[in-house]
Amino acid sequence: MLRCRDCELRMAEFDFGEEIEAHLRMCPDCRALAGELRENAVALSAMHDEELPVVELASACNGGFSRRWAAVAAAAALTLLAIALPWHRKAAVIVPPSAPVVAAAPAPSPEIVAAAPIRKPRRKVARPKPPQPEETLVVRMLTPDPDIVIYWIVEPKEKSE
Amino acid sequence: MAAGELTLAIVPAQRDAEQAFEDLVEAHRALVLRTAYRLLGRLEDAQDAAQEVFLRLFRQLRKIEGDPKAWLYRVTINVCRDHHRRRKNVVELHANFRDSALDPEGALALDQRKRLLMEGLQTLPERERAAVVLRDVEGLSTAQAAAILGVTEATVRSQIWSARVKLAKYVRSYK
Repeated sequence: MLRCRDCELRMAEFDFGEEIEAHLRMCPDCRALAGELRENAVALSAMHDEELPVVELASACNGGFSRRWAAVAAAAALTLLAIALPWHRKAAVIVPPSAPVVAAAPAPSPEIVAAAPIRKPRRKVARPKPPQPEETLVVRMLTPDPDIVIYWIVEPKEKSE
Repeated sequence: MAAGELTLAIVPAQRDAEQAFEDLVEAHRALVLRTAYRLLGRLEDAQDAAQEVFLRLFRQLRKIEGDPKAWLYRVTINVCRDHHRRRKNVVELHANFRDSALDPEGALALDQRKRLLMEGLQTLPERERAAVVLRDVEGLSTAQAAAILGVTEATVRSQIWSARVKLAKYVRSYK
């Protein structure tokens, strides 16, 4: 005699053999369960063809990618700045002048020496060039979305007196 | 480029990849959303899950070869599993439905049965739910479902039988 538990499992496999049918004729519970299993199979299969609204998915998907790309771009910009900024500032650092260059003055002629008071020769000192003002650094990030361009503007550092 | 201006393009090297991705989304959107909906039981959650699945697809696009269906099923199941763990087990019960849905003969119309099955699916253990969705809703073979779930065919068969019996009893309990 087949037990109900064994019958359930074989019915779940849709194995409705002679032994199962014999059990079903005697067991109303298993018979009812067999009906549910068959109808559930039809309903589950029919779920496959159900139309689900997908419009929101598409818009959310696109928006999500843009936002994520923007976040990635911002992170990349920060990294780039971390690399580029020291280099940028270093390029604009005022180089201390080297030892002054002294130009030798031409020797005065004897006549002038006699007429003019003796002066010490004026030394010409090569002054260092005034420092170049730092340029503004602009980092432009292009993203996959042509409508999104990220600009990162680094202003020159204010000079403190 | 002006002096002092750096331009960094993070546009993917291959524009074709974007087009391929859009084609994949278009072709498999229904599959992912449908599977996620059956696994999670709520459309809003399914849409979130589908978005996550396609984001992973976007990242992994160049690593996927051939038909991506198995990959999409597997990732959808994983994403839904994570989603299920994060949220409280929310099952939208149709209280009114229970009182009024049954006709005098006690038979359920197809739509009514589907709604009850959606509820019943959410009561199943995750693995049984995934197995029955792949096998009975998506119509995959036992071998395909086993490959996607990473278990043996015998395990899948066992999970499916158990799930079917539980679903049948669940539906029957409302008659």
